[in-house]
Amino acid sequence: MVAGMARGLGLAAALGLAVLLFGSDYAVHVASRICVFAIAAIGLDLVSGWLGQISLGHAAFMGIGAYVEVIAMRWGLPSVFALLAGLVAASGAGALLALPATRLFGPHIAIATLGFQVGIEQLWARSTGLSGGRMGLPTELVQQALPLPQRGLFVLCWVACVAVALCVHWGLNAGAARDLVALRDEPVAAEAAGLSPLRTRALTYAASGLICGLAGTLFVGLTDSLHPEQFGLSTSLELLVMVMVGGAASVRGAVLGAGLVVLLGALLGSLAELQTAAIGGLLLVTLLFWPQGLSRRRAHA
Amino acid sequence: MSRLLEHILAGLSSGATYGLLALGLVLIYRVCSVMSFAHGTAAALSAYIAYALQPLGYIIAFAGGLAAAFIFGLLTEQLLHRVRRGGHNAELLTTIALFMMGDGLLASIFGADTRAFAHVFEDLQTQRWVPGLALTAHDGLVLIVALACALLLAAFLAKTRLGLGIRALGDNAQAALLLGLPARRIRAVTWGLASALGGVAGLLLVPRLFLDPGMMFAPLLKAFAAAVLGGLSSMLGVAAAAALLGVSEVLLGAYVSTNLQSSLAFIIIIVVLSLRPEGIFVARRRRRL
Repeated sequence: MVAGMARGLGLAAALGLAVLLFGSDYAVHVASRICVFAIAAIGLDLVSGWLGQISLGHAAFMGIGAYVEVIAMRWGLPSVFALLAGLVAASGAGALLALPATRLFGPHIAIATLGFQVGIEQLWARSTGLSGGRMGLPTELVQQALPLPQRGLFVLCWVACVAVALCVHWGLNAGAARDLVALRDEPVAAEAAGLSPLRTRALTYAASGLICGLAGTLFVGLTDSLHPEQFGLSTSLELLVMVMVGGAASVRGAVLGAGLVVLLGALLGSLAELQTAAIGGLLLVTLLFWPQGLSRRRAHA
Repeated sequence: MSRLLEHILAGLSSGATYGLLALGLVLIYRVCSVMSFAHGTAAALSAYIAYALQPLGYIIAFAGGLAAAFIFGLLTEQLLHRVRRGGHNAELLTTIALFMMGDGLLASIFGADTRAFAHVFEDLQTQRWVPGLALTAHDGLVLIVALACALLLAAFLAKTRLGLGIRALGDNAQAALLLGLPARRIRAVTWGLASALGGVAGLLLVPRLFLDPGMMFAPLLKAFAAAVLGGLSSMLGVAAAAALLGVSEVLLGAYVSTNLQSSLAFIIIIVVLSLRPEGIFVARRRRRL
């Protein structure tokens, strides 16, 4: 386990360094996106992998983190407090969404999170005074508060990604994994053994929202203005594909999936229509041939 | 008074299309325990095929569209059968993958731009149906076709052997399998029928919505809302919920606010799933533990 972690860290460091030293500006941008979406995928994996609940609404948490941070800065809050406000709002929304999700199962959760996703997206699109609506919300205030060159920003995203991966890994190893798997696979026995489903799920959703909110606040640095579609349903679906293609309930899988999906999107950058189709096709092929995900391919061959 | 009646009739007409979609969703859900996110794709596919076949005449175009939706349903069932070993979420994820692929492929084959769909009878859109009521003939046609489809489905489920098989598999899968019912064939027919119902909804909606790859997403969301409101288990409950949703949307839009009108679907989804996940027309059951 430790050897695997060290190997993963070494690989991530080598790839990061290579991009930093030899990559073009575009490569650095794509690599930064990979780091941001890897963080969000790790967050979604807590709910969709470890809890086994398919969520179609996790891009909304990224949106909450990003929008709340920028709006708070426009209201004159210092940047650190604006960042904290974004994170608190995202994890609070996660805990709130856990309330219906705890009482539901399977497809109902997918529908509920879909409703949440569409609702939050419409909130940003409609409240034009607050969020700029479809015209976009300029992020220059954040850029001015943290004037980093593009490569500096990439290092920040990379460090955040590694930190989140390590924290989640340690948190899971410290006992959370056991509780979550018990609740996912044997809910009745887990409850009988004294595990509170409501508390465990609410905490997981809050942590998941927090992590996706963090990804959202980092995303602010990569874009000139925020638009509701950046955190729309298609982004939520892409996050889900990242988790499932890499392998559900695995930190490594989420990072691997994020890399694949972002790269695939970048390759098809000029063919916007084919992008979604290709990412959906990737999910379908994975489900058909490697149902446990690519990171567990060898173990099941 | 006649204004109110007009609103109610218009609401029933749009509710009828949500109802057709929702009936397909519930049919699939009861037999296969899967909520199909690819249901809107079946509807959009059928509209696009009908559009492509239009030069050959309307009968061929509509028949082709419905056949395409039926085949899409059969193929989906094939795929689901293959992924089933991957766990209970695999089937749901497969329909999500099809939804993503459908949008993108339709856009790249037919072009992402929005097209107008010439209606069967050019003047149906504007023609008044009943003198004195501002109800277009198209609204009336939608209501009649949807009701006819619902009645045909009810008769099929009640009277035919295959319909009996569908109901048996939906009510008690284990007993049905023990009795030797051809489960694969029944599931395939269920998927085909449900997708064809979705195709009917797509063909009825397309003159109103224009042809666009993502055109069925909003109606699908409303069908989910109707299915959730009706409780997913009773066809009658879901049909009633769809009618209620259609009428309340129009009334909200006319008398309260249009913002609320387009938000109603997801508000219903979140509120109902938070407070009464079993739906409003179903007697409350105690949680089993």
